[in-house]
Amino acid sequence: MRIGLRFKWVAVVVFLILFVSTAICVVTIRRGTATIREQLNERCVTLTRGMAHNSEYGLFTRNKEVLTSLVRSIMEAPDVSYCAVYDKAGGLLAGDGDIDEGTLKIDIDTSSRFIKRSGPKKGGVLDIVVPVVSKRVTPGSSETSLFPDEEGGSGEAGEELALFQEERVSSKELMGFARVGISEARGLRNIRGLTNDILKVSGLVMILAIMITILCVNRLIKPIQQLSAATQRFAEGGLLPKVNVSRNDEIGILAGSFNKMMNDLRQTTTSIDNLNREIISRQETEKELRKTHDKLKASNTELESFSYSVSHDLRTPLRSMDGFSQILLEDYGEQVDQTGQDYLRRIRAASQNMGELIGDMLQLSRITRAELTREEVDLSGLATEIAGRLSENDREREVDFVIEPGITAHGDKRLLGIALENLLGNAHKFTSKEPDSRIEFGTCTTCKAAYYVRDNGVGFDTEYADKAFGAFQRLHTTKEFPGTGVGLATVKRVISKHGGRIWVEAQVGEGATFYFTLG
Amino acid sequence: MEKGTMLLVEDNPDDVELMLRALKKNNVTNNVFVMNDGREALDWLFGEGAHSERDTSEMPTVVLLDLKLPKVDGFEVLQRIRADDRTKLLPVVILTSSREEGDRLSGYELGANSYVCKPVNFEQFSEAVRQLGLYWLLLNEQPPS
Repeated sequence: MRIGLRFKWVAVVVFLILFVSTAICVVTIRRGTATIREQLNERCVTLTRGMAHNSEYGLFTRNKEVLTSLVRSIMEAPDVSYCAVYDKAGGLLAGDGDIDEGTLKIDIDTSSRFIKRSGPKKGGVLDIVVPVVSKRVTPGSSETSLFPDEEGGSGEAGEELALFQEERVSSKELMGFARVGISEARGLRNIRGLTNDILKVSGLVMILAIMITILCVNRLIKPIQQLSAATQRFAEGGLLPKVNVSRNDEIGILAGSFNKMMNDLRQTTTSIDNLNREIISRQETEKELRKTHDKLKASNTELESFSYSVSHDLRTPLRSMDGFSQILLEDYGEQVDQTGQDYLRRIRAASQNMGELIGDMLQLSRITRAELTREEVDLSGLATEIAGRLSENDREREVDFVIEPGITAHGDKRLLGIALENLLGNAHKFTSKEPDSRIEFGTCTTCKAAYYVRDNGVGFDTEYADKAFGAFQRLHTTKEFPGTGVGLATVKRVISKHGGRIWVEAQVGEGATFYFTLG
Repeated sequence: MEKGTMLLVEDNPDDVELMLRALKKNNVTNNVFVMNDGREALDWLFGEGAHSERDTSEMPTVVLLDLKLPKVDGFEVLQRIRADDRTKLLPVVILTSSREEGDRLSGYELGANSYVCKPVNFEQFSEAVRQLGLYWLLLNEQPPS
């Protein structure tokens, strides 16, 4: 069974209070009692001794009246129950009070105490008997004087008179006995009164203390109980609680911290929930993306095999068309008239054109699908190679290639090669009607572009500049210049893949300049 | 130019016709054997099946091999040729429409001696055949038998 904090506290404090109070009571009462008793004894002995002293004369003179008046005067002292003087044989000489008439039975024993006290036997009466001894001390005797020096009571060693000291009496000097009975009743009453008072006060104090304690403990415990209850509720899965405590001590700090912790916890829980939700939604997005990715991958693979088929299977019939048209021309040319020959030539041209188209289309799609692998590419070198090849394939022309040296770029070597091939090839083609063809490749620091290819060929109307980059778009007829219209589209794809831009400035009859950046 | 024989493995009859004509035109009038699919080509080479009577000690000087063939395709034919001791060193020229890098790689990896793409243009095609004939039948030294 769980014992509550309050119970423990109260129990401990109550126990403490009781213990302390009891201890104090007991000690006080005992001390008080002892003191009262002591005082009583002292008084008794003093009184009896005084009486003994004063009865010396009476005993010496054997004057009963003196003794009787002495006895009577003693009787007037408070609490005296009885009082008597005896002769040295123990015979009553004078007495008063509640005393048994008879011989005083005294043990005259040098080894035993002489002053005796009788207790409750006589009904709470202190009975003191003091021997009356003449003051004359035999010279050379080593007996201790019964009475201390009148001058202050210090013996040889400065000792004080003890109440029940052993006193030896030599019978030679004994004259008689003085006896006083002092009633302890008043003393006892005092003691009882004292005890009662102490107990009463003590009880009151205890009750007060306990009440205050209970109140204080309550005040102390309440917030702790609140905290405890709150945490328990929380632990059992309840909502995050708040504790209302406004105090300036450690408990206040505890409650404040608790509230703050709960607040933080609330916020953390909320943000965790939010995060979880976001994670879930991201996972969903990821799933979707994965699906899309897979679809795209499948799509690409299909395209791949499609391209393969196209490159292989479409070309074959073309070859037949071209071949047999030519054979017809060669072998049966004389049997066919000019128009017929012309038609055959057209068939040939058409099939060749288609072959080129297929090639260009394939290249375009491959470029779109290709992965970019960037490296340092020597564009000047590439351009020079391409220029060389173009010149090789067309030895009849003299083309002036001006290629800026040391141009490099960070991109895909193969793709950039294709782009440059197209640009330079175009420039070469469209300057074919110029007597002085000039093709430039360089970098442009002043304009927004990084690179440019310029020719002084036939040019075109800038109005059609955008169209130039469209796939299969041509700005000249095939009769003027051959081509499929895919070249610039290819270049644009390559540039876009690198994250760059391409644009053109042209003038009819003056040529064209193609600018491009590479991201 | 009477030296040597040529084995032409090609399924397209138009291509066969054009090739034969090109060869004739360029006076490469050697014996040309034409097989239309991979299975037949192998049978002929190793004297099996329909060609079990052929004298397999006489191997062609060069094989012009297309890749897209029915039944057994070009690559497998090439593999079989290279796997057999009798034809291990036999010069094989892949003559195909495909320009695909993958095909080129496979061709060389499997042991082709040469890879030529068939141009669409007939003149170019003729020229290619002529050069092939000249080179492989006349200029090239055959491996010792």
